[in-house]
Amino acid sequence: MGNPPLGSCGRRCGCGILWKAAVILIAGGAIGFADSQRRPVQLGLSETKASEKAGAGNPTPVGPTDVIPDPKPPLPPPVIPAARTPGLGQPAANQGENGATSPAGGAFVPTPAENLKPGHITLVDAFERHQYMGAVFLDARTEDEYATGHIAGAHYTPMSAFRGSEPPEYLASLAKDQMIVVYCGGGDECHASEQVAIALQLAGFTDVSVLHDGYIGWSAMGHPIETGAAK
Amino acid sequence: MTGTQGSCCKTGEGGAAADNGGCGCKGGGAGVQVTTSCGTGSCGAMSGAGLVWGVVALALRLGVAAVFLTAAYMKLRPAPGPMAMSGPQDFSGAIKAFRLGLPDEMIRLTTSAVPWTEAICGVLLLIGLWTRAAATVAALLLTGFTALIASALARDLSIKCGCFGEAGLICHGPISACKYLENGIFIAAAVAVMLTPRHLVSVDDGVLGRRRW
Repeated sequence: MGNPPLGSCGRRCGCGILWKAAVILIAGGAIGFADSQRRPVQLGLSETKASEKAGAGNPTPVGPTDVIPDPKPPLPPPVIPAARTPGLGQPAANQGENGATSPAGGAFVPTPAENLKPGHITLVDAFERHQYMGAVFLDARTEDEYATGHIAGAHYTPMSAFRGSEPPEYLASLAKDQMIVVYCGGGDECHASEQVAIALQLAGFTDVSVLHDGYIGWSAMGHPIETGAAK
Repeated sequence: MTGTQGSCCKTGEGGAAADNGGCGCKGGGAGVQVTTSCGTGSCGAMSGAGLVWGVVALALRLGVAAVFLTAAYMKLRPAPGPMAMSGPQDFSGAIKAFRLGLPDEMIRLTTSAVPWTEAICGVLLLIGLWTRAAATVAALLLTGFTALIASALARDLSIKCGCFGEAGLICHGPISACKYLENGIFIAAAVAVMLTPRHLVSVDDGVLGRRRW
């Protein structure tokens, strides 16, 4: 094996590393592309049974397949009190692109139904489900935030609950068609609730929604909350 | 046959360390091999310092390989339970949490391409094949990850990086400045491997017999 002339070694070293690095990157991309076709991931929340029945943001579920026996009394329109969110363990301000706004000391503006993503519901819809429809509420925020204040009856359910081999007991005991509402802080900046909702859908739950305005909106509306550490 | 090694073949001394495809310190102005301390006739006599650095480089190489293989496994693993999320699904959520405004197709590709690239790098570093190229890709990936973390911190996002699934090697919980330290250590190790022309116990420099220590 002959040796290259002076100078060619340096170039060969650099080029050799570069083209090999390019091969590694291309191979990773190609295998990754093939794997993404074989195991597609779900990036967004799909429409749920309840959404199909009621439509996001509709306060009264209606539809030919509606099995809710009793008509509900009409809910009051969303009253917008002065924000009482500060002091409830939430960030002082949380503003989403779609209008959920809770400035410190200001009024809360609920996100209009027409601005919601698929699978997301309004505060009015969530309150209806909480009060009359037996929905299970899951809190996807941190344990500290949950302990400081959460929607009455909500279970602490962070994303980490879906990384182990065994699910939490209360989740395992739920029927797959149980109405579930997941929430976190609120607004577009809140990401955890959608991830938990996607995990629930992938686990087979058919009626999963995200409370778009989250705990900030819920508490600002004066809806029932409670405090206490996760059980 | 003449060997090159970090301690005996220095480019600043008129030689250039050959890449893995070749053996020999070239220099001397006319393509003459510089044998210096390597010139024992067996292309492989290491100085004591060279041996020490070789062992250090081996440890760094295996360390980076372990980090990358762990990260790849956590992102590619199947769902561990009936209600658990698979690695790709979990990682896609982590990517979305960075709010980079990527289209869905790009997120899907990144979700799979990044861990597979990590896996390839990890395996190559483990066996010592294309070692310097794999270390280069590893350093580039780590630099990219660090830039993403800096971007998230600058936007005050309280998210988890998704680097190792739920686990953390040095840093735990939401991303913080600690990730700079963690990634800095990994980048330094990868760069050290990248800059080391020959590697102990590697396909490049021993197992296939193209070079010998």
